[in-house]
Amino acid sequence: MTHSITPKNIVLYADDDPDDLQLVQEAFAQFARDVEVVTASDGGQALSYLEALSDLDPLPCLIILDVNMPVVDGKQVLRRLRTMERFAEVPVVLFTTSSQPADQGFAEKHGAGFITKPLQFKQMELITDQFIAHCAEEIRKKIRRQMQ
Amino acid sequence: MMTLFAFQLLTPAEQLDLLYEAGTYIGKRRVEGRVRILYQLEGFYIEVHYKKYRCIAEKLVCFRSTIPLEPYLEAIDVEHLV
Repeated sequence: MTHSITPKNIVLYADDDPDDLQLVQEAFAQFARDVEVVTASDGGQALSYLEALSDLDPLPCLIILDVNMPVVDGKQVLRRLRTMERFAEVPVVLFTTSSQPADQGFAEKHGAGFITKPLQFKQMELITDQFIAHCAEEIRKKIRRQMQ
Repeated sequence: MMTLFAFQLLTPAEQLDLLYEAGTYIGKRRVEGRVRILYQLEGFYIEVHYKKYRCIAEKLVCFRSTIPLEPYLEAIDVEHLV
């Protein structure tokens, strides 16, 4: 798990694929002034990070979950989060290689976004915009102000 | 229904768009430091060879044979199923 000391808006991203972790970190690099990406290599690690947050710690502005992960998969993490009062409203996106309607339905049912992993750069650009669109409104405005 | 022949008539960008919309991810492997990702579409397979992972594809290889699937099948961990 990686994160810096400087307090920023946190995007928590859990994925067991180091290439995908790097891809998303690079996508968010342009917002590095406002957003810090904290990474976890499985769902269990992501849950441990969230459960260790004190009441004084800010909640992540977005949680991105791969679906197929060891220990605890992305769907299990999402289900758990929606039963925890503190995280019930935190924006979550399932970021997956799947484009199956059943997986999309699962995400919708649990109030999460669903984004298929890209195959080319132009798709990655659109996906980065979609990630930002899922962030809490306040953060979204701040990031878009920076971009103007 | 998309045939292998019709798919090969598309430009690489169109092929990648179609795979994104309708392809089924099979697996990923690394060859000489570069990533290749295998997708299935209808009755054929497409292996995307990346220069930069999930951003710049340098080649798409299409085939119907299952022989090129072997390196992907070998990488699947079935230990938990035994």
